Amino acid sequence: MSEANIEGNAGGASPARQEPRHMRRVLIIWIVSSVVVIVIWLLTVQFILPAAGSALDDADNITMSVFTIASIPVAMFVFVFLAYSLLVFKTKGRPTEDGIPLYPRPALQISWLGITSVLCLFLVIWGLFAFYQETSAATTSDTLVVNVTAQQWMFTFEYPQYGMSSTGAQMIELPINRPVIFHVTSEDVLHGFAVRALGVRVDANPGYTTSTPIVTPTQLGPDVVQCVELCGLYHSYMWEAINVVSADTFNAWILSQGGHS
Amino acid sequence: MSSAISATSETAVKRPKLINLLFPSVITGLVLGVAGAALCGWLVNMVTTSISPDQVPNDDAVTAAVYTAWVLFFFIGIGAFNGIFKWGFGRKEPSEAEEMQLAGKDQGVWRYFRYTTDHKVVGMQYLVTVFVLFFLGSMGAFMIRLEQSVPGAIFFNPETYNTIVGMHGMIMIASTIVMVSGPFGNFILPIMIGARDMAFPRLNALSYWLLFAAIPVFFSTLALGGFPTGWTGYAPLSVQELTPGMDAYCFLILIFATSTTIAAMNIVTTVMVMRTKGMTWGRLPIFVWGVVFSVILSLTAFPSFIVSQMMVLMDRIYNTSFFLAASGGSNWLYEHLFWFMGHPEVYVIALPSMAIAAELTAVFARKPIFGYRLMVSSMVGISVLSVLVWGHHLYTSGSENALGGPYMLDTELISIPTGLFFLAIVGTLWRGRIWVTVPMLFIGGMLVNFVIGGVTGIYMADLPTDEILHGGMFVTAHFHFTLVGAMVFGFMAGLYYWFPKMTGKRLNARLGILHFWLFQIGFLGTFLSLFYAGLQGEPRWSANVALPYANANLVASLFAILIAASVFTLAYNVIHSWLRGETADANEWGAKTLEWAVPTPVPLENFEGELPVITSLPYNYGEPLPDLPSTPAPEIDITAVVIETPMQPQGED
Amino acid sequence: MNRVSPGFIFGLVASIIIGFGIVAGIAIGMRANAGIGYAPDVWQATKTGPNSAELDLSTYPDSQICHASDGNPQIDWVSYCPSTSFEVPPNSLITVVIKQYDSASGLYNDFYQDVQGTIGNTATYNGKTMSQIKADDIAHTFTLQSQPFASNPLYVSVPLLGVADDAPSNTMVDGIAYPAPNVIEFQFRTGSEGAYVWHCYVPCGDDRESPYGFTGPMSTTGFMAGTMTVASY
Repeated sequence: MSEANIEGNAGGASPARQEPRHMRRVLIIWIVSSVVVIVIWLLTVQFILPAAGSALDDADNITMSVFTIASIPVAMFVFVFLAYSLLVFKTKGRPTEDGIPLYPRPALQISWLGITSVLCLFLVIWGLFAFYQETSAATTSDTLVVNVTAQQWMFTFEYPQYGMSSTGAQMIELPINRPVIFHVTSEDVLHGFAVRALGVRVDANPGYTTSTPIVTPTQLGPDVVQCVELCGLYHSYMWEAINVVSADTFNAWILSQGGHS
Repeated sequence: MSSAISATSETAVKRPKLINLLFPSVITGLVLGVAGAALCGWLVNMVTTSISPDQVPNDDAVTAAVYTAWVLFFFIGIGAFNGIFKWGFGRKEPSEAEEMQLAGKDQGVWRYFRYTTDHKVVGMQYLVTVFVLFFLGSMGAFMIRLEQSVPGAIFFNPETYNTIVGMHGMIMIASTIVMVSGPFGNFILPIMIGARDMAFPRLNALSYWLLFAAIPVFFSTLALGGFPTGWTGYAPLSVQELTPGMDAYCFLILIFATSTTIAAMNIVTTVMVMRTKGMTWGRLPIFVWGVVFSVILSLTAFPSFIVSQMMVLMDRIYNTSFFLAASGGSNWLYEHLFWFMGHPEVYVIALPSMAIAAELTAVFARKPIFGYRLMVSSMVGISVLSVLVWGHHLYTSGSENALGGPYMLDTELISIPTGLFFLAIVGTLWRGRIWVTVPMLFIGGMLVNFVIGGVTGIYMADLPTDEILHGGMFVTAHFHFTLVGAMVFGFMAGLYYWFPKMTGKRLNARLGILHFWLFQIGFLGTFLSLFYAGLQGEPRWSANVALPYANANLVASLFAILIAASVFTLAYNVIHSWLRGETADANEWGAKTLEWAVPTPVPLENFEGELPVITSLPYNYGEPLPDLPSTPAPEIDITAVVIETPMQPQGED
Repeated sequence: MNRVSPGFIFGLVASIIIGFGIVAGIAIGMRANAGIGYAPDVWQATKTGPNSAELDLSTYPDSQICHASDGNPQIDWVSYCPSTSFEVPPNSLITVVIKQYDSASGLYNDFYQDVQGTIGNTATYNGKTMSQIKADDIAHTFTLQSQPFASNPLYVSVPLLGVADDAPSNTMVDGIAYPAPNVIEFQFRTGSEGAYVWHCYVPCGDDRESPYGFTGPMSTTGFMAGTMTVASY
């Protein structure tokens, strides 16, 4: 039955003379609004995304920005068509006649499917590339190894290469421009080890050790480790300050904590 | 209900005696349930104390015994087993009169308080329960926003806050799962397919009363110390046995998942075998497709949920170690079991609401659905894909680094059928004659919110960006945009649309418009602020909001005041309209689906006389176009329903 | 429906007000429910000078001393007494004196063997100054930590020496017999006003293995976890 409908109304795309006007108008509004919103995004993204503390985080920020730009036309499509329809095609009160029956031509369905598939593949391929780029680095002798033990409700850190664990002050230091890898485990329940500005996070599982990707801090200054997996009473107090400092300051700190250089 | 019975109860309305109404009823169920629970709790307490070396009772065993006994004795008390016992002891099959009795004939308002099998009664019971659950869940939300409005754990102790967060989450998840397939899936769907009742009327009542029985079980956690895990109930925190309150969560899920499984079987069977003559799969209203796919998904997903909670309970009561690494278990096992349910579950929530949007758009644009087959195929695509993507909740868990790529591909793929679906809705609106009613407003809001929610989902579906977003407020804002901004809005659209059919009164349109704008503006303000906070790095479940996120959270809490006002506006609208509203027309919106072809209030057997015969989809709005070439007019009926066909055998029973 | 009656508007406004009233009522009710989140009364450090104060605490192997009359007693849980919500003055030298009556349980994480964050990174144990206690001899810790992004972070962690397992219960406190306590004393400086939390890091919640060690009193304010507010008084 509906098959007949599709054929019978295949001319549904070109009925009255008004259709091209509406479609043309809404397409223009769509394109213009997409461009405007993309420009607004490009101007405001620096205020929305926090500054990156590592190349990895920077790549993530770029990924987010690119994805947003790719999604803006999709979002505007829905917003513009919806708003246009609700404003232009609305009736006053109860309608007295039916709308024009429109059915999608196969061409429209296939092209829509094609465009969304291309967009989707773009997102997937970009994501895969970015991810493998970020995680494929191998440890070198230069890589700083930090063992993190999470428990309710504090992270404790150990620098096995220097034979020390950080003591006190809920603060650790990392040297700038030196790759670091965190090996994380938990003593009791699930915790989430997350360093926002470095762009890494991994769960701390009891009985297993998981690792973050190798990341290189590129900005001096303060940073934080936060727990991102609900772990009980003081989950939202579970944090540690990170100070990214120069190599000399870092070495001095290691010695002050009881490690050897 | 055999179709041989002609219309209903205009013969002598014999009111049963009050004692027959009360016994059995929910009152006897409650009394017997509490008594049985107390007895079994005392027994198990005594037994576990005497066999324990320290003379200490096993709290979790006692709690489990109390809950199990409560459910069992509640159902004995409400008369759920009466029919089974009669059958088992060889009494004869129930007569028509007894079936009608069970369906609540002549019982007046009491039928809502008994084990009534009439699908319309069950639908109304679900509707009221959904309202109550939404109200309570909203209260939890307002507590959360209150606490998060200023830094520090000012209003609530963090332990209290964690319990509030967990309760809010679980109540809302339970409500959103049943919000459409419960009230509308039960009341409207059988009428929509031209049936007189559902396939399993007694199981229908069972599924509702299981939900009812689960509610006190869950709220008893407040007396047992709450639970610290949030709605996801992650082991090993859930096994750590801080308080017995965690058992309430586990039992809620066991009972609730059983309820939805039974309801799902019922809906699937009803749609498969009880469609009226002429209603082929190709002429099924899109709403029915949505509910059917949703319940099939839930049949696939919820067993995993049940299993995971049984394992948690065994770890808690019997000291097994499914999830304890120190004894050979793994917390990743829980995560996989949970999210194998958790991801399809959000599509269980989504598909009926999306189907409502599609259904209502056709009615309010007075146009056929733009691509009915497109929509059905996209729902198939969404359902199949959603079962394959649960690993995206585990990207940062460390359990499956090699599988990240495939899960990412899969998750991104779901955006394709979802996009097709929304193209179809937009196409339905395009060039229609749009009647902007309150349901239509909610659908507009749903589209806007779903686009935002869906786009933000893409950030988390992608591995590199999930590294900076997992476990943060960005996730919270994303799922609120999709589940609340889209799916609850869909429920609201369905509510305003079907309320006239279910209660005979129309909801006040002005209050509806106020409700919509308060909700939408408050919702956007609250959750866009939380997106921002999440991008800055705020973790989820923050009893203590740290200083850098304080402003965003304050703004979110201020906008939440608008959401609260919208909830109270809705409450007022529902109560006022139900009691004193304008009477609605039988076909309030001029729609073409079968539920609008029956009178309001809907008679006990739905259709007076014979069942209808269907000859086309119920969306054939619009005359043939004026300047078409002279092709023969397609065989469409302007009305989708032919009420009398005297000589054809009926296709149901 | 062109006119709305005043009754209608009144009903709407009343619903909204009643609704917010219900919200407030539930908030108050949740706060009052001691079973799901217990916060004891604030215990202020005694001022001993314009810039110094002393905080006297005890740790007991059960909670008879300060929880017997609670709504939620949990008598067999270990507990800090008299309270776990402390208030200390800002910019001061705080001397903490803890009488420790409980026996040792041992640590999960040897990180907490060291005395950290105190003046000199030492504490006195029955008069003897030490900077580290053997993990197996530790009964509890007093570990103070800051909120995330605290501008005036404080971090103090002091292991509390356990009494011998076979020590006789010859000290009477409020009519209940306990073994003779170890007295631990340490000092730290507070900065400007702020809110902090503290917690014990010895897993004595349940004598099964991880993760049970941190459950029970370890995860409940009023027993082995609490808050410290630095405020003027």
